[in-house]
Amino acid sequence: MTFPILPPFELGLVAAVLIGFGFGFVLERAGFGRANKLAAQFYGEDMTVFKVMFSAIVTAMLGVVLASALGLADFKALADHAVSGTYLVPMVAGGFLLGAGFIVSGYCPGTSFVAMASGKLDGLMTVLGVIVGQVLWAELEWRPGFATFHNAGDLGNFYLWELFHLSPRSGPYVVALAVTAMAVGCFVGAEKLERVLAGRSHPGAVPTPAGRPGRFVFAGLAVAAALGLVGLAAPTVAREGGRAPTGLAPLALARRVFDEPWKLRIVDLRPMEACSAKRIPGAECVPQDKLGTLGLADASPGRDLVLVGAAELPAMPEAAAAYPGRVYALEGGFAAWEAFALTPPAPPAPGAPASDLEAYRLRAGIQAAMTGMKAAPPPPVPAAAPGGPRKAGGGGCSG
Amino acid sequence: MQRNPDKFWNPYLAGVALGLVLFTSFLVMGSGLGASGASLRAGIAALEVFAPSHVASTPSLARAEASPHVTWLVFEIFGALLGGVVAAYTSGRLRGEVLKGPRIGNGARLALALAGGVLMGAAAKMTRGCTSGQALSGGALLSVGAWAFMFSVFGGGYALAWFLRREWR
Amino acid sequence: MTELDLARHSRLIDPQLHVWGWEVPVYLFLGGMAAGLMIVTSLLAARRPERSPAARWLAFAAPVLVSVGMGALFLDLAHKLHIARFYLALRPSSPMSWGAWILVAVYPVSLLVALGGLDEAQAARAAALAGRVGLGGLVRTARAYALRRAPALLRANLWVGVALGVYTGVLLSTLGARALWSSALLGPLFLVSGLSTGAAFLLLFGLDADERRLVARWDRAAITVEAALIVLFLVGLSTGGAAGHAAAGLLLGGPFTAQFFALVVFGGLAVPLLMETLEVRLHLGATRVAPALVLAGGLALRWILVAAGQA
Repeated sequence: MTFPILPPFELGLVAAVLIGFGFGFVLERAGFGRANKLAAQFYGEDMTVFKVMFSAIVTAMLGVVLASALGLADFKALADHAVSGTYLVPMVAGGFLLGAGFIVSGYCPGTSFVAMASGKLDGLMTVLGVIVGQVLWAELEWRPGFATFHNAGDLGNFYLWELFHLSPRSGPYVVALAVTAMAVGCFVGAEKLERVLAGRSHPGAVPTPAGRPGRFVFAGLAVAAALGLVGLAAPTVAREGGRAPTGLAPLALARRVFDEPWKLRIVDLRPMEACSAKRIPGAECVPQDKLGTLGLADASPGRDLVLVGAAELPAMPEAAAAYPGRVYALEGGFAAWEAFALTPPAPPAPGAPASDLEAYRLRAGIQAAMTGMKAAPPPPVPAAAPGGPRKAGGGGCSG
Repeated sequence: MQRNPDKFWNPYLAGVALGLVLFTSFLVMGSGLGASGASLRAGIAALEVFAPSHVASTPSLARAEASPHVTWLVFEIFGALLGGVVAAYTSGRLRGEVLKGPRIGNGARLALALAGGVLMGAAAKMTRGCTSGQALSGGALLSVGAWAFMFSVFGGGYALAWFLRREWR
Repeated sequence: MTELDLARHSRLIDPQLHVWGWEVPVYLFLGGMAAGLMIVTSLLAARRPERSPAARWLAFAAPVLVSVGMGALFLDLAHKLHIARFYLALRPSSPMSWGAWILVAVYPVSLLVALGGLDEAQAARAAALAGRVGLGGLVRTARAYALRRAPALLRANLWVGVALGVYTGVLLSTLGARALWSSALLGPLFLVSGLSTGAAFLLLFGLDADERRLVARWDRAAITVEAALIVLFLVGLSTGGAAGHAAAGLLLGGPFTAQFFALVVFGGLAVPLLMETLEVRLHLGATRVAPALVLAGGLALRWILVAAGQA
């Protein structure tokens, strides 16, 4: 899994400004900064809100689906990271309330910001109202009576493919295709409805027909959805490869153990006795069959997970695949580590090049630190052989 | 050159563009877009001025104040404001005005906008995200709650539209 | 009960490291803006003898802004009565001392230039206004003098403006112990930033179309140079030793990164530059949003640099 990138906090905030810029720009250009256009959705003759929202949802969904099919991302892991859990009761009730607020104010919380930015005073009032409403409910939500309602119908992270009892592997792809088909069908229906209503429409309403670009979008979405299914049908190698742990050489791991152990979570998968006898500093001993008990799917993705087997790991364990952050596997497993970091290196032959000497020093240092034993110091380096003929004579004045 | 403020992007192309922004956010941050979190943080900042100890003693507010994702939303909305200004300016829609139907006064419209905002603010806190954070981002990732929420929003809007026709028609 | 304070939150145990609050950045911002206004006023007078009424009146904004800024600074002084000591000596090695004397020069020069720039009707109104406090005669004499020495005064105004703008940056950069401020680029950076905020301030008011075009072009040029100087400033810091590297890190990944890039780089430079460029390219109507963003960005630049320097 290459994505999400998850940049450091401050850089993420800089990215937020850029992403937000695109968000605000597109919303405004779609007409979402104008209350009349948003409200017209609910009077039938201008379906812009519906068209924009659903094509955005379908586009982003197909993007993630295709990225998962190519092994660049993991749909379920990304969704677990990005989406709040499902609380059915407050979500349905709040949805109705938000819809009511939408038609009363003419905006939704996001579009009211854009309206405010483009100078609309009603947008500014809506922004202020949303601030008040948010604080009001935040004041109430944890109080005894309200908390039961606020947390009612808690289904955890619950997805459409689970609702329809599809397998977690193929589910997202099948549901994505179905959603795309439904959306394109609805788009065609919306176009028809607009044309039917155009005759007796309100003079101020500006319907937005699909036109040729719209038809290209329909075709593009359908193709992308089909491609997602092909990715599913294709040999699973690509998907396995996508979630296969990245290899980490013993040297690289040693450096990280020294330099930034707080960014690592090392899990030793060997049997308990072997692990308790000898392990990498900071490693947790979790035999492979107990890996599920760690709850890695819900762990914080801040640290990189490093899996250590007895030898090279054949495949990604199921439980580790759910880890939201990066997953590495120690190349060659603990055997390689033992050979690299716990065995004293052979001293280089006298007269070996400087790079060999340097490598020896490094390994000896690592071995010393990991075993708590100092090796004998490397043999003294012979002085560099005299290069060319030297100028005869000595002293300062002879030259 | 005069620009026509009633000219918008093709809705499907705009939708695809919005979807690509959302997709970028997924790929970079591992989370979607949002808006109401930034409003909550603004409210918390205001409360901090008047009653500093109150925020710390209210669990929901303290949690939002400490949440890095909410901080992220504040910066994202700052970017959205800039993007909105540039888009509105270049399309001839950047001007101070009150948008409303022909049969309602400015004062009533502004009062309704405020009231609707309060409703939406409370609702968006209840649903753990507004139409951006929940419907758009959650919907794209096929969360059941997000889809239930989205249908409810449309339901609520259509249910009340007839009663509010004087505001818009 | 500071004697019993074991938690080390006492000002008597730990020296205060963060000693400059809002007053200093506001002073630097207003001072820089006044400097920019003086420069732009001189340039505009040199380029166009005929100016709009707004542009003529706005020359008075420079001394007003400096006064407001000095008011903010005055609040920051611990010993307010000691301010007189600045004027009892000129210490060539102290930028504070230089600044005090530059500020003294700002008032007569900018006021004379502003008076000399008024047309007859405006001058009569100004004299009548001053006459209410018994200064009518003084205003008329000063104006007559300003008209006689107009070219020299405009030049003086320009150079005093440059000196004031550089001084606002040098004030920070002589405090070499703060790694973030110990850059020679801070003076030029604050000068061009002041120039762009001064130009933006003019753009907020009703200039005529030609003046607007000129001032907006200077604003765009100043923003571009400012962006380049910020890049050089950060590159210079990060390649100049460990302390400088750490200081630059405050803005490049450290705790001030997000504010700096959001408010200064995007909000204060990139977006207004984009809007002002599009205004020319697409022949859009004038907007006050872009200059307002430049002003906010200029204030944020000084605020963040002052705060980050003390971090």
